[in-house]
Amino acid sequence: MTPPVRRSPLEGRETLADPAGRARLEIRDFPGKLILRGKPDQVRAGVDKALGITLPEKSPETASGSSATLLWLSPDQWMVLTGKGEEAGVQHALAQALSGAHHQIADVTDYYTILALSGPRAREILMKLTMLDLHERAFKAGEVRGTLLMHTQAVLYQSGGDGAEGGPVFDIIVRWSMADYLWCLIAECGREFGLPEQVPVSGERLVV
Amino acid sequence: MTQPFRLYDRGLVNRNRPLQFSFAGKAYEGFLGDTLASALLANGVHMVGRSFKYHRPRGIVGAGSDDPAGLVQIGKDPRRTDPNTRASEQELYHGLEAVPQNCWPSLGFDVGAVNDLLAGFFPAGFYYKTFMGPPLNWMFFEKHIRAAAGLGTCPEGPDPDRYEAVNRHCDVLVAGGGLAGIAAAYQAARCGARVILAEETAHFGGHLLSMARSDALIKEQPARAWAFDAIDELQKNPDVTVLKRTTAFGYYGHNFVGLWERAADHLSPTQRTPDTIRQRIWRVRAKQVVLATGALERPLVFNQNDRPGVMLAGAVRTFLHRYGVLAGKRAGIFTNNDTAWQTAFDLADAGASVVTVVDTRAEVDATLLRMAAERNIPVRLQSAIVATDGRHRITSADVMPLAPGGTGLTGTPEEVAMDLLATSGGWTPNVALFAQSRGKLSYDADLAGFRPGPSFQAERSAGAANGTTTLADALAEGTEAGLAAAKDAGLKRVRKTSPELSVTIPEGVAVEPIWEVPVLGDFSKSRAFVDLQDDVTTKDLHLAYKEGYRSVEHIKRYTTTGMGTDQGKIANMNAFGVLSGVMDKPIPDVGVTTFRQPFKPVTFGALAGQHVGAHFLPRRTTPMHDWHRRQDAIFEPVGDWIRARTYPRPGESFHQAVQRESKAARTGIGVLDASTLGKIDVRGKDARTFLNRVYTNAWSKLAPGRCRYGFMLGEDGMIIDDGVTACLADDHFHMTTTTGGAARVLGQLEDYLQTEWPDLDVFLTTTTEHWAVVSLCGPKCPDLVKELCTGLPDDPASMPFMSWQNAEVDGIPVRVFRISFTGEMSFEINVPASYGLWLWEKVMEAGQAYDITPYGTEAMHLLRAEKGFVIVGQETDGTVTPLDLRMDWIVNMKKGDFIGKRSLLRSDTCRSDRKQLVGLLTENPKTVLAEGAQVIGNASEPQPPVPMLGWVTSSYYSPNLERSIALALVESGGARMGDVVHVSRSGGKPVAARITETDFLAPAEETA
Repeated sequence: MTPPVRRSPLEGRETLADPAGRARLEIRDFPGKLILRGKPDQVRAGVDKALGITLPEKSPETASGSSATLLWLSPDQWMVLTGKGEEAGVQHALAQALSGAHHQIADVTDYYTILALSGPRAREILMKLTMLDLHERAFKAGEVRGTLLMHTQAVLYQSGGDGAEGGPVFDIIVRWSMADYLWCLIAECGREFGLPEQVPVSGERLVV
Repeated sequence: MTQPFRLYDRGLVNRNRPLQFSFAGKAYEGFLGDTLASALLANGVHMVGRSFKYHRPRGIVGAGSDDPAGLVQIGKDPRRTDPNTRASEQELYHGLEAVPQNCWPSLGFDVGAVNDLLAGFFPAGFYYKTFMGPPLNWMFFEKHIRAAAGLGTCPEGPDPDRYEAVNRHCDVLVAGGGLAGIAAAYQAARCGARVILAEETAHFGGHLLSMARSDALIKEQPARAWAFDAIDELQKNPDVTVLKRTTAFGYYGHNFVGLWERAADHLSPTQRTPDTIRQRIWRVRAKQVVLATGALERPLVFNQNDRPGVMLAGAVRTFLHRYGVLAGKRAGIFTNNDTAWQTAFDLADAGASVVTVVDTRAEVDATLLRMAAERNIPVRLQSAIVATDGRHRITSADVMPLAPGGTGLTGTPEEVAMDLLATSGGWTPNVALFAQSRGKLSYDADLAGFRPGPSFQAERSAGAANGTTTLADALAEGTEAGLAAAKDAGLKRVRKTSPELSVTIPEGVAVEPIWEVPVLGDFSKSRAFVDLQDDVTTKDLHLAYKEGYRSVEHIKRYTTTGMGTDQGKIANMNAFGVLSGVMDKPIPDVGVTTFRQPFKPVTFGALAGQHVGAHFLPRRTTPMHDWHRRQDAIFEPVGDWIRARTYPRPGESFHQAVQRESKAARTGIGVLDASTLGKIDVRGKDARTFLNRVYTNAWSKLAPGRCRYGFMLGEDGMIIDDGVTACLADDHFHMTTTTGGAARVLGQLEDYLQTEWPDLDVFLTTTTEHWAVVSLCGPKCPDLVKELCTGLPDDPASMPFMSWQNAEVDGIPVRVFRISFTGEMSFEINVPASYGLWLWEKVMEAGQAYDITPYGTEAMHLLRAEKGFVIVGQETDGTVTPLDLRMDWIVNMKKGDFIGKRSLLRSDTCRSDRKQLVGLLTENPKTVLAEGAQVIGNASEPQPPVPMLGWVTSSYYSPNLERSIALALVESGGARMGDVVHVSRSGGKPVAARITETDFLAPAEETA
């Protein structure tokens, strides 16, 4: 019997990099993801207690601790990012600290996958797909915003700063089933910056 | 090859880069930097096509996007060929092939030109009259009109070029890269603003490029040098985007402006690589907009004003200075204002012979008269051109004095030979974008044109677009606009950096409008064109008024004036002027037609951008998709999803495969990928109250570990979704929805929680794709589940129906649901999606011993129909209540309120003769009814209207029952059990069928 194997929705896709270093697209390796919902007043203390993180309470804030990063999604909703395989532990710790408070924690680790787009031209590539203002005056390191990347909903989290060599890093959090579409579309938009063409999975036989 | 009309002392063309091109099959040479129009004129070619309606010869009239007439077809590759391209905008590249439009068999001899002789039969409103006449009129004319209409030829097949759309935000968007626009961008950038500057042509400088270098000076240098330096500085600024070959084509709400960049149209297809973007749409959201789009010159409207060689005077000057081309060597000028005089002087200075300046005005500035005299140019004041001659190019014009007061003609016509007639009727500020932005136009009598009045959005106009007529004022106004825009965008104010500009030539306009030049002789025989593309003459406008049209918008549509690809850029103002005379009303009272986006035609390729072909839409697939592909399954789209529909074996038809799969699922083990179902995590102490309100049945007592099926209704009582919800804990539920309804249901439930029931402590989170779902079905599946899962009862079949348990497969936690959508013994194993393919392959491997059969969505539909289970969207269509489905048991009217409850009590929803869901069994068990077929009461179909009882919602051949089955919504169906009804079919007599209960598995044994 084959032992359990985890697969990403981008199984078979490999890191795309411009030889000239202008842009790079890769897949994050199964980071844990939780959705935390609750009124800030009711979960603030518990989040601090469980994770040592001050709850980010308005757009486009994020906050990081040693075990997790919290992304503000809406006034009562956060995404909690953890290391690979650490989501259950973080979920448990949060649930303990929040017992008694009205809240919800849902494991969405496999609902979403994270693409990382980096490089000095990363902003220009994303600007072909989102109507958000991605200018470095308007979108800074450590900020998060929800958006549409053409037909897909996505959360954009700038996990790396512009000052760093190699330009900014955007973590793009997208639904499993949309990941291949987005991967190929980002590559398409990055072709002028040296990313190779990527063809979406397609060609299935359809019966009318 | 020679270019007989080329000048070698001016222009932005590169004479070291000759380019070969062809037009109408003939080879020519131009230079890098030419447009097709300038290169043709350099070779003495004026006529490039024929007009839309009368097929009259048409030549190059303008030098930019305003040209209504100089349209050609570019390229012979049928995939790339580009119709209706303005020769004045198409930049020349080596090997360019252009062909004329709307002429057959050739440009010189055109069969369609017979229309011109029949002009009397094509008056204004020709189409309307054809529509409104006897019915057969249109039937007769349509095919001829369709064959004759249109100008160029559409490309065929997929477009091989790449396009893209990009988004940008900025503090200040400047539309137009002339002097005012450059000054505005320069000043705004100095203030630290994020600036986008868009120029329509290949060069910045605008009007500065249409005059001699030394005619405008800044710091004793040509003003254009300052402009070019400013552009250099802007290009070095990382916060400034400088775009040439880019048109602002649409000004929308909230300062959203569309720009269209022709990024590679100036390159030959062989110079473009597979990565080259041919055209790009910039979707700009600007805090402030500066409109510096210049002014458009309008021609004079006189008899026979449409011959090739009759051009706008400003365009002649542009061809001269910008491209180094003489549009003619014996030039006449016809004007009602000062600006065309400079064209005469510049032509004369460049070596052309200016044979006459005809000015309709009685008095003209003395400086102009002196400058004309210095160049020995014959001047005729208070005169007009009343006729022209020349078959494919003007050869002469008849000049006549105007009667004092401008009301008629006097004296006798005098023929003047010429190969070019440059005309000017004045300048109209290019207010298209301003008007699109909902700014209010105001009429300026000095300009005899409309200029921007009060703004509606955060924009301001500067330069000629604002009605400004001198360069120094344009520079100052542009600078001030840039400064004010930056300030209003929230940036700090810095000192103005506007240099002194001096102009050494006269700059006035002093226009005296003459909207219709008087006609010599019979007006009905005159041909004075207002719209050169749509062949609209002054006579058409007069006729429209005579036939009762009063609104300028109606007259536009009746006569088609301004309705061509150029949208009447140079025609509209003249049309308003003519109508003002016809109606005897001041122009502001005549009004203007609406300026709509786009300013000029934008290609579909650019608008579609990169979202074409394989990138057109996301195709959502499940974690097991790769396996389905490897089996060469047949798929079907379900919403955005691509789901496996059936898995035909070699040699098997679709139908055979579905039959085999359906049989296996009731005799052995079938396995279905059910991952796409919507899933919502529901959590909070009020979760049960919430479920009670959103479902029709009661949820208060559902114990942890148990599941329940529910219907969700709209407020109108109609079914909108269904699904099984499992109780995870007292305050925690796992809800499932239909595949297609997942996002909508979540949004609707969240809406209720936030707006209607904020008092409920409930949170929702979608978990749809976190879980991959392997659904097992069939009598043998408990054995397989037992083999796979640890943590379940020894006999998984002992799990109560509608229950669930946590378990593990090889240490991976899963949720096992003992639920069924087939009526058969069934388990659904939910595993985190990243393990989905692994689990599926493991199930297939372990299932081999049980001869496991994968089945797709088609067999799933068939299996559930055998059991009489409904599919929301198939048995329901938004007009069906649970009572209509005869599922009264699922509606609990005693538990308190729920969405749609009140509507179920309405007299109409309580009617007993509503359409109700029933089964149908055809008399012949082999006959499969058509889904959607009408159920009627009669054995034979009478003449319409046929009394209809309902329709078939689902229909299959059931391999398990070995006969056809169908579900149908039938009027009073519940009371008609056993009745025989008839089902219509195309091409045959109605089929008799007996009404039964919907669960075909239950009565099957009785009838067997």
